[in-house]
Amino acid sequence: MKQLLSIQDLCFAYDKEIILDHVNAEIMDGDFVGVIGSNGTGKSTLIRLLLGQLRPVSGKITILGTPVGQFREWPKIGYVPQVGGDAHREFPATAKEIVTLSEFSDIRFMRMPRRRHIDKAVQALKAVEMGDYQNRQLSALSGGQFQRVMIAKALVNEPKLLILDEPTSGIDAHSKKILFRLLKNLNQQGITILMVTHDIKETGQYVNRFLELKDQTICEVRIGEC
Amino acid sequence: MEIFEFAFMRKAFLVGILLAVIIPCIGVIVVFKRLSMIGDALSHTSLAGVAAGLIGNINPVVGAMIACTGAAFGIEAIRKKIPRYAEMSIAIMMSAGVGLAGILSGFVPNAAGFNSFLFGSIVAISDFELKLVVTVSIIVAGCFLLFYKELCYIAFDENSARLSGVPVDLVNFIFTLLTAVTVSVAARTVGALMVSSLMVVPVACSLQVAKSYRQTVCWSITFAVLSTGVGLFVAYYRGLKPGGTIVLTGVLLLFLLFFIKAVVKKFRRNASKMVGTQAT
Repeated sequence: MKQLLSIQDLCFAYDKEIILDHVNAEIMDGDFVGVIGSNGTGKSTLIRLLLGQLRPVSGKITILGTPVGQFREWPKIGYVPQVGGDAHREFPATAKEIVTLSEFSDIRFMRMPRRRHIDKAVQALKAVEMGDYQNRQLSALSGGQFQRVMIAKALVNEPKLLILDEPTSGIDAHSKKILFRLLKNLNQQGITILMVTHDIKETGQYVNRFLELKDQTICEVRIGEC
Repeated sequence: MEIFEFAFMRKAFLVGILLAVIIPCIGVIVVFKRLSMIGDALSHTSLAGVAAGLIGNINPVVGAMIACTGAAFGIEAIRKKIPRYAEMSIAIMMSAGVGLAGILSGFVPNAAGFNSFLFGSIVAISDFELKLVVTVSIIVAGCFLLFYKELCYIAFDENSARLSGVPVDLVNFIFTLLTAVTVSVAARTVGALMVSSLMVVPVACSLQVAKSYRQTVCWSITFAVLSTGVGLFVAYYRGLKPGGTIVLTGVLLLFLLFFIKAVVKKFRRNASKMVGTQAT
C-alpha cells in the first residue's frame, strides 16, 4: 500500500508547554483512521500541523511524498473543519454556492464559476445525499445536513485524503450514524480518511484503526481496546 | 419633476445612488466577517483626516481618505495580533481616531466646514467630489465583481479559503483599501456618524428576504438604493437633513420588513394549523 501521509519525530509546543513530543505515525492509501484522545491532548493541533497552519518545533510531516511546507496540491486534501458555534451556519449562502467555492483552484483567481463547476458541486452534494437541498440556505439545514454539505465541499475536488476534525460534534445520534455510514462508503470508494473523533464506540465499527494521543505522544490502539 | 430641475439635486441623486450601490457591497463582507462596526471606526477616524485637511489647507476628503486607509490597516494589524477578539481592534482604532479628531478639531479655522462632515452634506457636493465619487464607485464595483467569489469565501471561512489557494492576504489588503476609500467618500455625503448604518442596515434588510449569497448582495444594493432615493425625496419636500433622512428611511424599511415577516410567519402557522385540523 502507498504511503499518503507520514509524521516523523514531530514535536510541537505552545510557548513552553509541550503538546506533541516525538510523535510518529503514518497513514496508508485506503486507510480509515480515527484520532482519539481526551480534550487538550493536541488532536486539533495535530490537524493544524498536517495542514501547514502551524510550524512544528522539530520533526517532519510529508503529504503525498512532499514535506508539508512545500506541499502545494491542497485541493487533493479535503478538509472538514470543526464547527465551533454558528458563525458558518449563519452565512447566507446556499449549499450549492458553498460547495462551488471549494473549486477555487479550478475556477481560478478573479474568474467566475462556469456551468461545469456548478454541475460538479451538485454532483458532490448528490454523493452525500444532499442533492435535494442544493438550493437550501445553510441556516435552514440541520447539524447533520450541514456537516454533509461540508463533506461535499471537501469532496468536490476529488481528494485523495479527507481530514475531518470532530465532524459529529453537536449533532444527534441518528445524523451521526448517517454521517459515519457515508464516510465508510467514501472510504470503500477509495478515499483515505483521517478523522478526529470523541465517538469511540460509534466509530469503532467504521474505522480500520485508532491512533490515540496521550501524554504528548501517539500510539495505535486496536479497536475494542479503547 | 420639480426636484430634478435643480442641478444640486441631480448631483445628489447621482452621488447617493452610486454610493448606495458600492457601500452595501463592502457592507455584506464586513457584516459576515463579524466586523460590522468597522464602518463606524473608519468614519470616526476619517474626521481626524478631515480636521487635518482643513488645518493643512488640502481637500478634507483626501485627508479623510489618508486617515481612513491608515486606520483600516491599523485595524487589520491589531486583528492579526488578537484574532480571537477581532472586534477589539475596531474599538482601539476608533478611540484613537476620535481622540485625534477631538484634538485636531480645536485647531480647525472653519468649524462649520468640519461640522458638515459629521452629518454629511450630499446636496453641497463640489464637482471635484462628484468626480471622486464616480471614480471610487467604478473602482469599488469593479473590484467587488472581480473578487466576488474570493471575498465570499474569505467571509465564510478564511482558513478554508487559504487552503483552497485563495490569496487571502492580497484580497484582504485590497478589500481594506476599498473599505477605507468608500467610507471616506461616503463620510462627505451621508456624514461620518451615519456611514456605518448605510453599510449595515441594507444588509440587515436583505437578510430578511434573501435565499442565497447572491440574493443577499442584490437585495442589499436594492434596499440601499431604495432608502437613498426615498430619503432624498422626503428630505427635499420636507426640508430635512438628507443624510439623517436616508439612514432613518433604511431603519424604517428594516422595521417594516420585520413586521411583514412576522405577519407572514403567523399567517403560515395558522394556515398549517387549519390544514392539520381539517385532516383530523
